[in-house]
Amino acid sequence: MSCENWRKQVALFLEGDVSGRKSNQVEKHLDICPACRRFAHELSQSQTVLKSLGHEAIDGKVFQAIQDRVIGELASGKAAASQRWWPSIAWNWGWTGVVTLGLLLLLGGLAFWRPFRETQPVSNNRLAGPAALPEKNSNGPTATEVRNRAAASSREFARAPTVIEKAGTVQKHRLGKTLRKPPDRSAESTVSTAEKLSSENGRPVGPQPGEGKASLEVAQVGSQEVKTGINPEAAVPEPLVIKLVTDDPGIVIVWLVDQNGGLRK
Amino acid sequence: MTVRPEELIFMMVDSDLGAHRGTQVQDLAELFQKARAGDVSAFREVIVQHQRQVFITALRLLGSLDVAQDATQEVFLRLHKYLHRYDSARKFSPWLYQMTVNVCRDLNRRRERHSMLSLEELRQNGESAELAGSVDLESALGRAEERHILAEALKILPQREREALVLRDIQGLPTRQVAHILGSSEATIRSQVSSARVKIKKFAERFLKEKP
Repeated sequence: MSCENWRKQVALFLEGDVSGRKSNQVEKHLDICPACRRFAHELSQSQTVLKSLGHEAIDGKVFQAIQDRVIGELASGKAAASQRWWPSIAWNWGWTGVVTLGLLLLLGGLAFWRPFRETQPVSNNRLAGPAALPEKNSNGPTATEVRNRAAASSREFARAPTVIEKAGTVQKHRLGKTLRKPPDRSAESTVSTAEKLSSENGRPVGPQPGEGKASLEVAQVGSQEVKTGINPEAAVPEPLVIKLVTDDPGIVIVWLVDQNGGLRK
Repeated sequence: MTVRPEELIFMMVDSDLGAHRGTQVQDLAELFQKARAGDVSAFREVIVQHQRQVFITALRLLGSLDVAQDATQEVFLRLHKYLHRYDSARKFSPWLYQMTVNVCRDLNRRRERHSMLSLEELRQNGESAELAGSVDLESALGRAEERHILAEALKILPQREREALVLRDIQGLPTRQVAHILGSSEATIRSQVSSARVKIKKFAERFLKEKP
């Protein structure tokens, strides 16, 4: 062991902080090492002064002032206010970090939890469209919420310069499998709901002056074949509307395709 | 050589127990009971009995008289708030040390470094004259200087080492109790104390060598 290491032991040995066996080893080293002996002597001197720091005389005024301040605080009832738990925590960076981390985890959990909640009911009703969603659903959005989103989507689509004369057959592509949904009447009710909602927002569904000639109606989003009657002069042949449903019900990708396979512009 | 005016307070006549020195030391449990019931004089007695322990610990941990006073006040206010939590089956002193260390840690984060005043300036501005009293000025300054060097040396230590050294060497607590108060193992405390003692000695040595 080097003298540097011995000195750490000497620092403990001088104050009786080493065990008997170790103490004997330190003593033996001190017997044969004059440098460490000198170190021990100097260290014991600094230790004497260091210990005296605990026995210093202190002016009684200092203590009197402390007593008066404490008793004054208690008597005036400020103690309770000044001892609330939150001010000290506010200054404590450790607690601040913990609270911040907790909030981030909470927000992250909510962000992941919400899509999960929305995915479950939609997957069960994917082929039925929003009109088939129940009005009350404890595990996901209500049918009204979905219709609202559909109406908003249709309005966005209406602003696009796409010209659509007639909605075609809606197909769903999922995992490479094409499903064909037979038309039913629920789509029409969806259209009327969407129109109503849009009208309530001050913007009717359908072509607007100065905008595109046509818009995609909610019925198309609802995977139904619907004749919208918009822009009767528009092109022939009838377009196909291909809808790609993702796990997120808020994201629906729609292609308008000519029957010969080309994308409509 | 630098020294702060507050250091000079310790060279004055010891009167720290003041008017309460003659007060009979009452049973702590009884005092606590009265204090919990709203007896302010009983709590004052608790303060009188333990103020020195708290103040010296805070002073050596924080290195500033003003901040140590604030810390001591905060410790006793906190003590008053948590009196109901005190378990009379356990020793009171370690609990109070623990509270003191925690308060000092909180204050240590906030406080600013205090400016120093050189001993030479003190000699010149005559402040030391009032300290001298009946004792020899040079020897008083010599002892104060030694203590001041060591007090300054404490400030260069890492916080954990300083806490261990103050409780072990300045307050004279056994290693086991220091470990309990600081929430460490005895081996860790021994290692910290050993390292701190060597650093203190080196600091004092270097300081004295640089002195003209």
